[in-house]
Amino acid sequence: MREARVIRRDVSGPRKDFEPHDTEDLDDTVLVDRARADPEAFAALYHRYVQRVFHYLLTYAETPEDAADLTQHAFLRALEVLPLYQHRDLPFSAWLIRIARNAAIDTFRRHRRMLPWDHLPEAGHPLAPEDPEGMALRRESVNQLRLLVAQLPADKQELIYLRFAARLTAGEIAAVVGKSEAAVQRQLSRIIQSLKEQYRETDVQQ
Amino acid sequence: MRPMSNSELQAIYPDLLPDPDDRDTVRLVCDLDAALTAQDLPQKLRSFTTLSVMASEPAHPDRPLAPLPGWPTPAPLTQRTRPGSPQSWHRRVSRRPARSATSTPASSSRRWSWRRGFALPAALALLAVLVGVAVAVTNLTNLGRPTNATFEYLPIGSYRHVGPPLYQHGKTEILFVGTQWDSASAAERWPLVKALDQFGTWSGLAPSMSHVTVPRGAPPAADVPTYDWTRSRLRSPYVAFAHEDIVDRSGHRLEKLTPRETALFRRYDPGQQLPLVLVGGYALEGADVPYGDLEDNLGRALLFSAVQKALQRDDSRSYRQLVDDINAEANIITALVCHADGKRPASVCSRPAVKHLLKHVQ
Repeated sequence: MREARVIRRDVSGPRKDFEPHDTEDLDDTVLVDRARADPEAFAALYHRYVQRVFHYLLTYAETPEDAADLTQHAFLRALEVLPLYQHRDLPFSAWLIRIARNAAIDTFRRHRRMLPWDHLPEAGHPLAPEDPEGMALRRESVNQLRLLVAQLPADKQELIYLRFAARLTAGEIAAVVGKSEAAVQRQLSRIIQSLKEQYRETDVQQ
Repeated sequence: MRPMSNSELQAIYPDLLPDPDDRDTVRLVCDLDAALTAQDLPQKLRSFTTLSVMASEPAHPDRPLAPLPGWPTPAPLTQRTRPGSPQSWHRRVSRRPARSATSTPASSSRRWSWRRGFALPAALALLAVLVGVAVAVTNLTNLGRPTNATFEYLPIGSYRHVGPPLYQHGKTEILFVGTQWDSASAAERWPLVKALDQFGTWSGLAPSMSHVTVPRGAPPAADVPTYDWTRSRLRSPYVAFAHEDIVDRSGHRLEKLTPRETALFRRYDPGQQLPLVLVGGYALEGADVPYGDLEDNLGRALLFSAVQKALQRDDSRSYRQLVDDINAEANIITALVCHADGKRPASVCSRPAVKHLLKHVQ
């Protein structure tokens, strides 16, 4: 099994306002070791990952409140079993999402909602024109997109949610789902290609 | 949350955006990201303090629960009835009536020869039926040899320690509450059959399928292969296994919980998630084995025989997730039983995977 990376990868996008400034440059392994010695130090890891875990669990939950409860449950479990975590085989992010995933499976038994984004605010395209008609067209496109994803087989949906909602890399996803990194990468590329074709067709039909 | 620029998008999804000039893919990836990450974090998640307080509260659901007041405290192992003692199950006394002494030697000889001529083919036929049944049942419980699979990062899976082990007549009590229709119950039966086969002998098993019905408009859910436990029984000197499927495949009420089982269910499954598995002072709400393991890549249910063969052959090449998950879960159940029962039988409880898991059992 490959060695765990020691370089911190900032794949979470624009820095969220929840992570303390003094820990943002520290690797997960350092934060885990600190948290083992002092559970209060778990706060840094919590703030680093809470949004990703929440967004991922939102793909299972009925409401944001349910997702929030499940997020708390997942972090509590992670805190409890932190002494058992091993750096060498699995990045912390993947380990945490796996705990969250198990918690979600326990709770919802993989019966995902068909339209997991009903409660989301309107998704705005960064390049969309700032006009009502443009926004309405964008809303309709995203609605079509969510239907396309919902029609995917469950395992392919899972890959999309792990990549986008949880923002795991292909290697981390591989560790969660028990496949090789190359297989995950291939499958994600194929899913994106297929969705792109269908997404383009829905635009044409509009 | 401000929208991301293309360069930020490229930084997060380089694997999906090999060509930054492919506007269709950029748009798709951007829309997916926005749709799945746009929800603001609820207020109660914004501070670690809330979680910290929850973690320190003694009444947290994840904390072990105190035994119910008024429940009998299980006696220490040395005082309980052990298998092999006069009260144990395998010491039943035969009550067959003695042979009658009224028949004369001659008449009895004629009757015996006539009976022998007729009885032998009947006996052979009965023997063939019994052997056939035994082979069929044996085949159904043949899920391969135990392996050393474990869930590496969650050694005892989703089992929670909820209190001291429960016992019935000196045996470790295991309770399963589920339904015949839901896929989670269906999935969890596989590791239970495999694990408990080490502690006793199954009878009355039959192959079956779950039968999930979903609301209109919801994505279809595959029925998955499982066991029908309606007429099954586990004879064991170590384990008292009770299973209740409260609803059948058609959604009708089937088996009723006893008052004691109802109290256990209410106590250890307040969320009423199914299945509930209680073993060795641990509770599992829901299934640790995802029912997706019992489907192929296209979401179609595997055949019962395919699952069984995969486990018999330990075919992790073709069915890695299925084989690993069921075997790992079976090892957890085994370890929990071993822990509650003083690590008997030794041949089962001394396996490396079980010994490894016992270190994580309270």
